[in-house]
Amino acid sequence: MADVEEKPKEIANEGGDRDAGDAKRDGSKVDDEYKTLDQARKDEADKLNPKKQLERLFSETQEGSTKALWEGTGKNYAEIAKNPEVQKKLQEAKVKDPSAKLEVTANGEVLSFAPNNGEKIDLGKEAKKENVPVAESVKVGEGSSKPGADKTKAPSDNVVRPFDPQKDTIDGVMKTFDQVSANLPPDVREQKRKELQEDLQKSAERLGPESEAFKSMLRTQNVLGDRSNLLGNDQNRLNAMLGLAARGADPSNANRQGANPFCALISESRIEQQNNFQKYADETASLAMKGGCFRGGENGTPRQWVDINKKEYNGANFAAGPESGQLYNRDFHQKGGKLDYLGQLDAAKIGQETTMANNKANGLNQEFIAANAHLVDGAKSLGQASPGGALLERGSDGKLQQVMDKESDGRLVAAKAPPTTLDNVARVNYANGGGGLMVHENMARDFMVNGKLPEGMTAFKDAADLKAKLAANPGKEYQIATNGTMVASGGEGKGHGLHAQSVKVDDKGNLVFGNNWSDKHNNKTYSDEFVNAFTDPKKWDGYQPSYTNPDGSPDWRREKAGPKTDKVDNNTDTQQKDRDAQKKKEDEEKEREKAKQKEKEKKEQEEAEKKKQDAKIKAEQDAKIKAEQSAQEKHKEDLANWRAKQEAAKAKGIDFSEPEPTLKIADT
Amino acid sequence: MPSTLSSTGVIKSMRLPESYTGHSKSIGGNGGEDWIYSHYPGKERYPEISVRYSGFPFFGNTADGFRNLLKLEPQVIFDASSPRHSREQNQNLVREASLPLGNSGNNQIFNTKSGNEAPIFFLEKMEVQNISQKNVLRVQGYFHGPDKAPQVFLDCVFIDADPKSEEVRIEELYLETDNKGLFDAEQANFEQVLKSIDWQN
Repeated sequence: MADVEEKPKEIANEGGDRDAGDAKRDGSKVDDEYKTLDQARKDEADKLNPKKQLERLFSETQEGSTKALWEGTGKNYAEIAKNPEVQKKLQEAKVKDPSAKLEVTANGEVLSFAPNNGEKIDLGKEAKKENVPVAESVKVGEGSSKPGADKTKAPSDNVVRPFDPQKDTIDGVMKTFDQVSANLPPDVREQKRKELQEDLQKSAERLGPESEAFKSMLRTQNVLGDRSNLLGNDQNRLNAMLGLAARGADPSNANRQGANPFCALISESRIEQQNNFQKYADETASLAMKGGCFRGGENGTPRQWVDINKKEYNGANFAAGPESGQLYNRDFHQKGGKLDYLGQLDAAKIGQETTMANNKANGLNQEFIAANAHLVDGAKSLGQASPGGALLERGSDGKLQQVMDKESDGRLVAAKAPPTTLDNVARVNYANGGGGLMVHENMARDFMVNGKLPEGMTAFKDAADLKAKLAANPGKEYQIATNGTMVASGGEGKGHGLHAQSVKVDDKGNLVFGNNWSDKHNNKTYSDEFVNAFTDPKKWDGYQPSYTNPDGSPDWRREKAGPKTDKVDNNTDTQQKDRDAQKKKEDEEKEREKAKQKEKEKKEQEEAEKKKQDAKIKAEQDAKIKAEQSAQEKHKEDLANWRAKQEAAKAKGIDFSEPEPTLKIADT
Repeated sequence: MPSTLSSTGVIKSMRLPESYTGHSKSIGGNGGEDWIYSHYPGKERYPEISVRYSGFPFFGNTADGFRNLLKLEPQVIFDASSPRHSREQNQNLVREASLPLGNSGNNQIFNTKSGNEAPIFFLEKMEVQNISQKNVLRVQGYFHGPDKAPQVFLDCVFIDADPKSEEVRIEELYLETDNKGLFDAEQANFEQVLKSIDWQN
């Protein structure tokens, strides 16, 4: 089984940074540091030891609730209750948290207890063995009995050397930078120096200058710059340092999917960096020095060694490619979305872990190489469009061979991505302390077994429900399954189908979606209606699944987050048709616009004509009125003259026969 | 001959060989906006004629070398078999243009590292060609593993999809096979495909 992993290789200089030129330190001081480290490790192991946890829980208790305790004793309640030893034991126990539950045998032996976080911890047989080191008595989660699954290691086991308060400082890191950047042109070197310093300052602000996370980051910076590490050359060391600083400063901007189609891996890494940068930094240091790191161990899962540098890999995951080998550049690697060196190591780490989760679930023996798989015998990874990775199967002869995927049209093609089915994505997230993978209930129900979802998978009903579920931890990013095509372009056909990205609720209660694509897709807020559309598979019109159920519906249990190849009907030009349809639509729209314009112009013309007509009529009416008025005045005057004449004639006794003037209106 | 189904990008249409009856597309694997449309005979993996966009444009210096080459008159830029076309000045042009060329840019001229960071592509020829009134960069060679033995053969034209844009969006049209005999046999078909290209306005 693939979770039977080799133990990490011991490094020759474990425990101390041995940079060339670094003054040798006093031996007793180093011994003291080791003692301190050993004690710290022991303390950490004690924290994970259930017996000690139980003791601590009891000893710290100030007051308890016997009733609650009884209710929580689990099976054989009646028998237990009668047992005077148990009664005494439980009465003696003062449990601070009434929801804590004990599972005890009839004779009062404590089998397990579950603190209020719901995590059940068994005190198995191992706990009773004599001379078993403290940490090895922990039995946690499923699969812990598998040989080789290392369940004893605490997070601190990824620490490759003690913190050096003299050297693991910003100034100390800059000195390391000066060593590994010596071959850069002076102006470039100065620019990168400035960028590193800026990102270290920002990291200090984000993580806290005195925080363990920042200290771990500084230590890891020096480990990455250490010429005895596995990164191969100074360019890779420098790129790893710059990449780590950028991630420390802002994980949401420094993790991009470019050149690697592994949305599930990059979003998981981003979330882990947001949640626990100390863990990320320690893992990175372990990768650099040992070629692997311990992963998992959260939520009762076993910790396991994830090896990305097995001998037969020939250093594939650590060799820089054309993009990851370029000097780390914010425009090229962040804005431009290109794979950076540390992103390559992250993809290798989480890709291998995802493959191990899949092995365990399905009884397989596969391994994943994130880059330069052409260096591995048996891998097929070459080609213009190849991302350079490969999924390999270990045969009965122990040799690796390429896994071939059957595409929707029956073509066999080399599998170059890890098995990122949603249950595997959720498992990795769960095992590493992520809040879980949020999956719409219309997809999640396919994963139900005996009424339970896979570990780490949380179903939600709609945007409101999603908000409610995330509201408990505002600002914390979770993984979420979406339709990448819709997210990318609102249905314009960009972006791959089933997609893994991140989501959080901000302080205003909005859902903010992080995306490891380009800037324009990152940290976006959408309407609830659109969120409901791109998360609910029932609303994914046109979605072409890679795997289907007998009824033709998508088989979400087999569908992977990431790109897939769709068959296109023979001799039918779907895209051309789409484009033609679009063009037709546009042409019709143009025609409509044109007709509208014409109509508008006609209306305007008519209105102008009407105005003109009205003006003419008015002018005529005015002229008529004027003529009438003029005629009236003239008639009045004529009449006055006529009357005057009539009066004069009458006075003179003359006969007056002139006819009375009549009103004459000129024809207008 | 059917016309291509690759019409998302700068190629409006092109004519494919009759035997290329299989068609597939993959969208958004590399940053959300990338795509590849592949055409192949039946259910065989190879040969394959594909049109692809890597998903991210190139900016500034990274893209300048590529654009500068396309401004030249059609000519051979580099030919590994010709002393005249493999001089230092030719190699310099290859170096400046290689980064935007994706995996084929990881060639013996651009990448002089050895060991596990050695190049994966042997560049046989690079030339500026004019296809239907548009200059393109054509690259021929093969991908190889550490033993340098040819594994996958490539004939690819790189197209500046939007020369007026400041950011350089490079689209690729290529023939790829894992068999030299097949590759040689398909060359004539590929030439016909190139001649049939009709660009978007």
